[in-house]
Amino acid sequence: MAYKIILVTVCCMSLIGLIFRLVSIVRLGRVFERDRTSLVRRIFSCRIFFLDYGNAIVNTLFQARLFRAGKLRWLAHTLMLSGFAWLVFIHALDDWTGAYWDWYQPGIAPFRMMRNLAGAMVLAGCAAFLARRLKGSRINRERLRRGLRFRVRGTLSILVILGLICTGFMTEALNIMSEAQFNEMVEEYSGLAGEPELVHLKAYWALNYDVAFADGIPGQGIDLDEGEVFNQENCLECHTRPVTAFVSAPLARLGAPIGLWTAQFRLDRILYWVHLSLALTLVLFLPFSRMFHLLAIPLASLQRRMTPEKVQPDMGVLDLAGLSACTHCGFCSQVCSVYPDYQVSENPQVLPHVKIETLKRLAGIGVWDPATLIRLRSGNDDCTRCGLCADICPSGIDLVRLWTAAGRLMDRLGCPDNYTTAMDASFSRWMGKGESDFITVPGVPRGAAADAGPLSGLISDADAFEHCVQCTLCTNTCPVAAHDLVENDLGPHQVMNLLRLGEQDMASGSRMVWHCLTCYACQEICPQSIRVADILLELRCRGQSRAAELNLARLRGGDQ
Amino acid sequence: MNNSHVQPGFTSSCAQQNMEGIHCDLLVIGAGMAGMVAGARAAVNGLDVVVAGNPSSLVFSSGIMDYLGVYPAGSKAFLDDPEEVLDRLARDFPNHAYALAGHDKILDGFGFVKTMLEDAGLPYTQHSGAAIVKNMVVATAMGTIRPGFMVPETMAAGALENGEQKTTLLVVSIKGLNGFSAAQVAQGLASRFARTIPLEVELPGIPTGVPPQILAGRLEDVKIQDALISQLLSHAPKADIIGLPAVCGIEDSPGIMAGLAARVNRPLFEIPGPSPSIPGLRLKNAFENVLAGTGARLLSNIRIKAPVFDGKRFTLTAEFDTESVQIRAKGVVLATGRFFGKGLHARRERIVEPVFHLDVAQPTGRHLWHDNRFFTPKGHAINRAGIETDGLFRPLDERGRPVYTHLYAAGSILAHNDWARLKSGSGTAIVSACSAVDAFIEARGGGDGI
Amino acid sequence: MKKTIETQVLIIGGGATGTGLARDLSLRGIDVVLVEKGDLNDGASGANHGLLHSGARYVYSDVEAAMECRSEGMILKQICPQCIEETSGLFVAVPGDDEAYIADFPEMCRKAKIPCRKLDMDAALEKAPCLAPDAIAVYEVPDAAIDPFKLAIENMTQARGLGAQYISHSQVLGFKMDKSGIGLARIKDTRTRDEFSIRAQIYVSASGAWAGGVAAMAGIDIPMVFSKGSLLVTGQRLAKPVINRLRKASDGDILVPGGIVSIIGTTSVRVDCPDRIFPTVGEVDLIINQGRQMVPDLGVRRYIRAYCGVRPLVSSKDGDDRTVTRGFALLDHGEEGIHNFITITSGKLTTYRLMAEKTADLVCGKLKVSEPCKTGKLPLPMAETGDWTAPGASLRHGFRLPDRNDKMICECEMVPASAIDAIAADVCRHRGRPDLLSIGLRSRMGKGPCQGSTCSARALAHLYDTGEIRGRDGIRDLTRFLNERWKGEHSLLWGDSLAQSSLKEMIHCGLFCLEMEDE
Repeated sequence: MAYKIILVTVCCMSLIGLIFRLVSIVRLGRVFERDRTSLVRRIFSCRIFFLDYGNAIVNTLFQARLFRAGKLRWLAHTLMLSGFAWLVFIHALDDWTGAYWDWYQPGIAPFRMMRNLAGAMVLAGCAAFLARRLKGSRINRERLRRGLRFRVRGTLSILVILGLICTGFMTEALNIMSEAQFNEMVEEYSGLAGEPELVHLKAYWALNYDVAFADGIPGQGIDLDEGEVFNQENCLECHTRPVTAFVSAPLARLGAPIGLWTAQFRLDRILYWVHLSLALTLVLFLPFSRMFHLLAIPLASLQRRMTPEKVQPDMGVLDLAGLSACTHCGFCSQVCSVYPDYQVSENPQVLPHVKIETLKRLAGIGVWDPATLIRLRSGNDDCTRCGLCADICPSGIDLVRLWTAAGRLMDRLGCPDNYTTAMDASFSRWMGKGESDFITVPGVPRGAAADAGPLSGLISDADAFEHCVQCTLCTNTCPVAAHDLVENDLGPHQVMNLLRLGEQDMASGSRMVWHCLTCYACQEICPQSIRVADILLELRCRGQSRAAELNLARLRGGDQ
Repeated sequence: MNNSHVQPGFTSSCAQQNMEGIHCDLLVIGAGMAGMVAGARAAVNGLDVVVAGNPSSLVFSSGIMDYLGVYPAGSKAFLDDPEEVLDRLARDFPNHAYALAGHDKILDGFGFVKTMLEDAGLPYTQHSGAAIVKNMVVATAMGTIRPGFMVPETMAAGALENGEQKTTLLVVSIKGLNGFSAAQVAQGLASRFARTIPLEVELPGIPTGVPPQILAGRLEDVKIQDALISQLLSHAPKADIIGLPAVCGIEDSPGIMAGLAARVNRPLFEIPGPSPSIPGLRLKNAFENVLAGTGARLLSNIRIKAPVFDGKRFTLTAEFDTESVQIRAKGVVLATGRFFGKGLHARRERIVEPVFHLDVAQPTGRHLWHDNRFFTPKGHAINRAGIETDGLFRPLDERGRPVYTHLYAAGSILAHNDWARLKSGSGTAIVSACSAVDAFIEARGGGDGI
Repeated sequence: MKKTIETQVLIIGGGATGTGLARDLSLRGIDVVLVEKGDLNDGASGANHGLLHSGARYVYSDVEAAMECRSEGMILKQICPQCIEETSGLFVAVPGDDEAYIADFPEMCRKAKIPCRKLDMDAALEKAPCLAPDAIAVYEVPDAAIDPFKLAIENMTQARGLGAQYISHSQVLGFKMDKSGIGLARIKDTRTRDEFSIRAQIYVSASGAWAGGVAAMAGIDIPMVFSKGSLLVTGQRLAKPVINRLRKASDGDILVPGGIVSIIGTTSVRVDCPDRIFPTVGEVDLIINQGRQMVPDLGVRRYIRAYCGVRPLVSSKDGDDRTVTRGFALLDHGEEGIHNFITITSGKLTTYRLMAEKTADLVCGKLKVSEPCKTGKLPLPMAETGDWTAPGASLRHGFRLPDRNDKMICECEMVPASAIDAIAADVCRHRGRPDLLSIGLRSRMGKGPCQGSTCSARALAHLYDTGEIRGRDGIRDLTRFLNERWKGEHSLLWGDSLAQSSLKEMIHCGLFCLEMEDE
């Protein structure tokens, strides 16, 4: 009874927390909106009939998107989710759900086995996730910057679940072994309490049910058949042999000596309460922990993809849910087509999985510090809206919609963009008062990225451009030069020449570099095999850093 | 399409489809004149051929095809009839491609190329004189004149007979096109025409320093042509013939020129200038279309290295930017060009051939490579360095024997041919490429099903 | 009717010394005419390293010269900083170099009062990452780089502003002697072949390697030794500071930055005559093989040009030419009975101002003018036409590129049409005919990696369009220009530069058939 009361109380509190969380998500939208639409209106603006229910269902039940993104991860996740779902419905809530089988008892074979199976599945999933974290996958360690906070929170969630399952198994094991519980059961359900015939039952249970009796079993005068009869009459209805508990039973047998010792202080009771507490903690903090994605992902998956023809003006509720549905899996950044820009500029805001978190955090706080804002703008402007990130996101977030809204938001906040700054800057401003060295701003470092990919370092390597013979074939073939005939300032061959003259900084401020489509026609045709397009791209990344510096200076107050 | 480029999907698809290995009968390394002709010749004769190289070298060609313009190097007059001096050339340079192939083969090669290009929409003109094989002579953007055995049809009307034309020439330059001065050309040619008149026209939307290829693309636009015509019309009556810089469109330049000529009611001709040469670009596009039409595969932007011969076939590694693929071929034609095309590599002490490491005939020391005067009449000795071959155009080792039975060399990589001085580049490329391919076909039993 | 120009001082020779002297005398209010048989810096002043010596190179062989370099260097840094880049300098020894020489170096510098600081390898590599990693000793000294063309042009420009005259392409044919010495100098314009005369009170021969020839016209014998030195220009700048080899002076010892390129040299080859010289393949290989011992990059990087000059040395009858005194020779021919004739020759670029000062003092003594020398104190004003000699100069004249309508003639050195026009106008003002050679001298056209492949033709087209060149003159100009540039190219044609010159030949011979026009 106490259990029920506690459970209901915690659930209610969790529900309140959930509502609070959902409201705060909706309010996030305020940052993105031009005017202050009422909360209620915003919630009801999501146009219920146009939602993508199919996607939501398939993604929620089968994690279809995760399956597409990474099979192994999907396996670990599915194991964990299915196991956990089963445990929630058939074990934690068995006071209610058990009523559907009139023969339901937690201690009988099918349910014992399934509980163990479910627990084992969750264990396997947890182990896989933990192993991945400890090993540090290629994504986590090399390429992406994951904040300490994420790692701690994520690991904490997994550890709680792990604790939950382990305490569950241990509790069950202790229950199996418990002499005290045996005695309680005998008291309550059989008429054998205090009778000498009890010894037969005891012996039977010691042998077949792995109970650890402190005084052991007398060696003689035991009639196991008698015991079996007693068992059938009194116990079997609720307790089948624990061998089907393929985790807990071996655990009980192995841990029998410890079990005996801990029985003195009723560790089984203690662990039971620990187990319960962990479960309730999980429920209570669900709205605020990583586990919230259980709700956020289905919500985000309801959203229909934004297409170029149907550009939505506002961030709806579901988009905001999307912000919270991110599980930091990093798949998006793995496929991001402008990843090389990050390698050169070292601006982590280029990467989708970092961008989304920054967006969420800043929107939540509502205060935008200039440095982060500029970096975010810079990174978001690099994004080509190619949609590869949105295609692969296992949580079903429409990332392209997020980036578009973020761009508009930053426009409204008056955050200057790199392209306009670069094109409008005067010569002296771009070059930094006549000096050739850019000023560095903390957080926007220059220099080769730690994992310098094939793009970095071309503009400072003489071998990359000294072979140019100024034949001008590249400029002749450039579609940007052909299109912007009057406006374009330099052809690619002139950019190569600027590099030879040591004027990288000047080159990075040229129109050509900023308008380059990276069509690679120049690189294809170059008779000296110079990596013209790659060099232009690296220059643009460098220019992005410089423009970001200028923007930051402007935001912080006053032109330079 | 204003900007010329290969038909979409053409070069990249074949690269991707066979990343696990490419097999062919003949691999042609080099996609310049010799490489393209070899590829076409092989494909037309039913071989499965792969051409691997950078076709951009053709953009450096003026578009004019040479047989032999000057002989010996240093003489101050152009040859009328190349055949006349062939015997002398053969005596002086018995290993020269022309000596090995002979006049008939050379003519056959030119005919082959002419037909092929005509089918691809790029017609060429030869001297119209009857029995004797003669060079044509055309004017250049420098105001000088130059011989040519075949010239693009768009240049033909300006051909000189005995070094002159008794007409009044209107020389037109386009404002914004660097390096072409109507005054310069008109004054340079003043003694060769009855009269020369310079005219600079201004076309809308053409800025200073316009890249020639982009200007050529713009001239495919009817509105730009209209602007050109309206300015020409007021001056055309003064002249008998009009010369323009060679930027009249990239695709269908003959059509565009014919249209313009009809509208001004005067013959029009193009005057060739330095690279990027639009007639060269047209040649490149035409060859790429030819190869596409014959089923030959063209792999561009690729480096070939590490050839290995196992007794039956060659295995080579083809490197793209970061990936590589194996190519297996029964025969190889090395048409990699000279120093500009990287077919020959000059280190500080000697010249090497970087793919097969073939012996390179060369002067004994760098101090002998070049003369002290750039325009030295006899030409620089280094230009005669190169690969020596047998009669079947197979490179020879130091003992004078072919290095491999089915390794051939064609084009400017060959020795004893200072093509810039002798004006013999195209002819050498064409005849060596055709001869090499023909030799390969014959050696393998001829025809299909090799 | 032959013209006669009257003046106070006739200076023969338009190198660093001659132009420096013109400035010095003009500042003292003296009327000056400078004649030059070619154009400014045609001799050694236009073919040196561009090095403003700290003097450390001479601390063993000639302490006085070392100290002179030091003090003159400091003066020049004051008066014409626009011509100088304070690059600092390193002296580097590699395994195999004379250890005793290395050990004594700092002491010798101290004695000559030249600041010298030992650097450990880390500090050295930070200053110059291109240094050979196995270098065994590195010292830092206050070397600097100086642009001799800008210097000469600015000296001459200021002098002209004060009334001096500069007559280029005018060669002294002979002197008409009279009882006081030289009565008249007969000059011929080498282009128009006109002859004229100049009558001056004092005649100064600042003709460098040609001093012997000029003196001979007055019947004076100056025994001269001609030592040719060749230098190579790299495609891009290899190091920020000057890098010297820490050993007894030999070949390929010094790498000097020159704007956006580096210059490595030099050699010392006896020649009989200062004309018609060019770097040889052997010298090029020698320089590279020596230079790359201290800077390994020199073995692999692309070279753009080679050039050579002749060190005018007044003979001392023995010793290797480097040690024949590099101090200057100021010869007052009054000792030989010709009282109005002075020869100033030899010396180093670094000490040109001092040479000019001493010469001017001597001249003023003869003219009984008592004005003091002002060249050490007055700054040298910047001249606009001097600007175009600096690499990438056009970039400084506006963001991104000069005016859109100003077409680019030389792409790789970024010389626009407006520069060509300005130079052509300047040449015309001084009775010259603008041709590609004179434009080439005063700008960087064709001096870059392009070797003049396309810019020469473009410049020609432009000059025809503006009417500066007519008829078939242009074709002759072009062949002369390309032949002239070739002198500095043909000894280092391998790799990229060979590919480039192949392209050039493809265009000019293959297409334009210019070899048929060459005389």
